[in-house]
Amino acid sequence: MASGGVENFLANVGRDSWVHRLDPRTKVAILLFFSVFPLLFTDYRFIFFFFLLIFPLWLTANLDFRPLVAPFIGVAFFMFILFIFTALRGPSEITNPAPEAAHFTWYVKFGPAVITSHTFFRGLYIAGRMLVPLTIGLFIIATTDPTSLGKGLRKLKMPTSIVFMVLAGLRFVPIVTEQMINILDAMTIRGVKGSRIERTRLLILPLFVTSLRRTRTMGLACEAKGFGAQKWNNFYQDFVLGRTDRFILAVLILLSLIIVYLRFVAGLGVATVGWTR
Amino acid sequence: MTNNTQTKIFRGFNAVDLVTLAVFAALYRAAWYIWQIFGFLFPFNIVIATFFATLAAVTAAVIVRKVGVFTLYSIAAALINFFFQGEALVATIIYLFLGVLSDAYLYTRFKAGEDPFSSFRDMTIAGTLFAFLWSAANWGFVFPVLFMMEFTPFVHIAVAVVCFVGGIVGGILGYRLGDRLKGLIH
Repeated sequence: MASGGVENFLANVGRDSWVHRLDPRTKVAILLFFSVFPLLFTDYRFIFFFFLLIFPLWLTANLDFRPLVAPFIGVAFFMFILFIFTALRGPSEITNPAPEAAHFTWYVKFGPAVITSHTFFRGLYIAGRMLVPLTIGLFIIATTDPTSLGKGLRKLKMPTSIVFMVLAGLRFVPIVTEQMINILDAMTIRGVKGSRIERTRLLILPLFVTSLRRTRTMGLACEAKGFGAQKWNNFYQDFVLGRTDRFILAVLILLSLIIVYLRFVAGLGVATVGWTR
Repeated sequence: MTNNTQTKIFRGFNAVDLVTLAVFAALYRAAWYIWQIFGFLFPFNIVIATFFATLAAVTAAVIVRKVGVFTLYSIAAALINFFFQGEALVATIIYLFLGVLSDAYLYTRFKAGEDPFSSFRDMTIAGTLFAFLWSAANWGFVFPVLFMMEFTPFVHIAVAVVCFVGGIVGGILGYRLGDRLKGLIH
């Protein structure tokens, strides 16, 4: 019963699409590209360009979006908070003498709070610039088997211990979440009453104990297979960059050069959105 | 002699240690479920995040008992966060180093011939350093600069201090929890 409520983030890994078939190193390159470059711009039109770039990836990756609803809601909520904190200002915003703030075309008052055209669009920009960087990781993890991702990271010379921890952690998050929901269900069935804080207090010890017991067996198995002897440096599976990988990497390199030129040489993509007091 | 001491301080992490750290990083990630319920309290719900981050870090340290545990925990938590929800890369890079001060402190205690993992005082200090870096990174850079969130100076300072205090409480409870867990997991 409980497992039905667990967000299975890895539900899409087994599907097939050109994105699924990409080499993990290409996926890491995509991840880095979309995590870094959108943050260089402050003009919403340039940020929209990154959204246009990533949108076809989501649509062509043959994804079942139902398991992704919960994380999307989380990102949307965070962006809403960013928008509200930026757009909603005090009444002094209307008389703000700073050039950017002073040239608003409309404003709406909500009691002691004010939204002007300037704060509204700045709010949209602040929230929008995080949309691509905050969802690209989700896209990669939804289309990549963690084991394959780990091998790719090892190929990129990341230390084995770090890769091992990340892989184990990615595997454990659904297990631990399921465990937590099981314990909360058990509390409900046994009639445990009390506030959320009280239930959380009662949850912690059994959650930690059961999670550790379930997962440490894996550590022992790894030790038995020579992990501690540093013999985990060979790969049975060989990674080869296919034609699609090379094409994607070439496009990413080309786009990176264009972006660096536009932003730092031509000075484009910078809008006056900063707060000037 | 010096080499022997160095070897003793920096003992390698075996698979069980790494799995333990990964579990605690995953537990920290799973705890998002709890503080997302309190999303309407933002930014003060981040106090719960600091509390759980430090609680899990100190508990992991008490169980694993090796210098470097805070740094490895930070790395695991940051990378899981990065891959799982797509945390901003710049923020992730900062989060990788949140355990450095605590490990430096543990190193000095080992150098002094103490066993900090059995000392409530030492683990509280290590947890405090972790909570300090956590609060400083988030409220000094990530929220105001990276996410460009604007708070009044009073709210900004208040939330940073409350996060820091929440982290200290998490560290204190983490020591007690780690001590109890040690006997229960085998």
